[in-house]
Amino acid sequence: MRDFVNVNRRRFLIGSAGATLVTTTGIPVSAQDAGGAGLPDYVSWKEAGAFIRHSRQTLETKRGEIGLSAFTPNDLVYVRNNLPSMTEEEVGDPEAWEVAIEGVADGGTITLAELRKHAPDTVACVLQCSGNGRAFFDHETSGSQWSVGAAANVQWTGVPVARLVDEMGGVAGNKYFMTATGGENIPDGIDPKTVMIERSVPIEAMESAMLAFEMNGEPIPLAHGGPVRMVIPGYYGVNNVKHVKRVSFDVVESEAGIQQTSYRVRAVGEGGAPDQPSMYEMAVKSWVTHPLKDSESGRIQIWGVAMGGTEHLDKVELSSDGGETWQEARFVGPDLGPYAWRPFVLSVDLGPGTHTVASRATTVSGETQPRDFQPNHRGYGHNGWDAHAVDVTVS
Amino acid sequence: MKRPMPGIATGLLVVGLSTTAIANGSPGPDWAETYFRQGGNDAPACGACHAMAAAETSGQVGPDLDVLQPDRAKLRAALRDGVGVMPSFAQALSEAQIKAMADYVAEAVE
Repeated sequence: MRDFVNVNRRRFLIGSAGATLVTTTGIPVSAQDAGGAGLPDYVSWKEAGAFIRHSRQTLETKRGEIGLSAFTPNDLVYVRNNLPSMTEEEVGDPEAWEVAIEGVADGGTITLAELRKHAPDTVACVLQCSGNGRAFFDHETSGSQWSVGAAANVQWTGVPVARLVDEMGGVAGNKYFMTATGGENIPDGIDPKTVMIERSVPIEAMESAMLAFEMNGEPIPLAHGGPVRMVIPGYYGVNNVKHVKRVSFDVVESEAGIQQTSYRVRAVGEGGAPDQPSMYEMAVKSWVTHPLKDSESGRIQIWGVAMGGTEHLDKVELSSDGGETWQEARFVGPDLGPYAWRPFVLSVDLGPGTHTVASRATTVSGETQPRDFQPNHRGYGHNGWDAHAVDVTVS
Repeated sequence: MKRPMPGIATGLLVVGLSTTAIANGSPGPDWAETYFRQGGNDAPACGACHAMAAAETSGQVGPDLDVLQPDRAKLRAALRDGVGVMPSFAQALSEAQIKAMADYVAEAVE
């Protein structure tokens, strides 16, 4: 007889209308989730019902939604905008969108139409918010209480920045940072440095960086930073500046608040400061996406995704006894590169009762998820396997 | 050191202390609404980014507070630490002022 899993969506999805639910593994559900109704107008094209709405500009993909597909379809990708998305009116003709390149020998502007004349490249990347996993910290944290849904696996198409810089005569002088500036309009009466989206990354990131204009084979939706977005593979989402209008090479980091004091990692109780580490490269991480709550007894499939951050994965292991024993799971599909995640699956026989199911990924250089993740004040970068575990009840 | 006199004199002393406390800036909702609309101490007005009916502001940069309906804890955290591009107001405002603003906004959007 063939094995099969009877998938009852109501049992697997976390999120019930109007309820604030915290499971024993601490996965909160937004009280604003009304069964997915009421997507904001600018993302009405996304799949209603697939998101937890934290605010108009922050929509978290529900944990069970991503399934086993290699890439997250655009209409399931989470939304997190620091400033409201630019509108079609503000952008104008996308083909005429201009990106200024500065700090190179022969700087200038390049339009999207001109970018397309270059041979394109593609890169598969995890797109993940710095705050993904914030909900798992015990201390009070400012910001959206994401659990695992501020992450997606996306294929970007665009032109490598290194190639453009080469054609423009190379970086002028000794520079240490590559800085990207977003094109959002800042209203009068606000000091632009307070709210503008401008992020600097170490200049080494130029080697893999891309000016992207397609997301999973379609023009980048405005909600995700089209027409052109800076993509830094392996770096946290904030560094992938949306609606990029300027790229420069500099000696020092941007003076924008979002660079100087935001996205800085420090001990609980401390304020952000420029001498603290910035949220740059992502870490090894994995989480189970199925089953999440309860299941019929017998042989069941556990699904999830695993990522190496900036390098290939060696393996992902699963435990159904809270971490006492581990078994290696199978990857589904090919390795899409060091910056992408990989779906995994393991079939297990679970008897009746509640089982704590955890996943733990390891990279080729031996980096592995810790059991517990050391807290930082703003709740960034959680990759501890114990906090990400789920309780599965088998009847 | 003079001791407070019992009875009426003590009552007067108590009233005196309360008045002094307000004059010294135990901030109340009036202060909060003014700051919400005008900002100060090198920090932008809340209303420049946030719409909120009670303060008659219509900023579009950050979430509409009548829609977001943040509770006191979330407000205190956001004012103290910032959120994304929202700056921290810990340099501009005292702990008491942060608490007063959180109380004001939480009640205004309930």
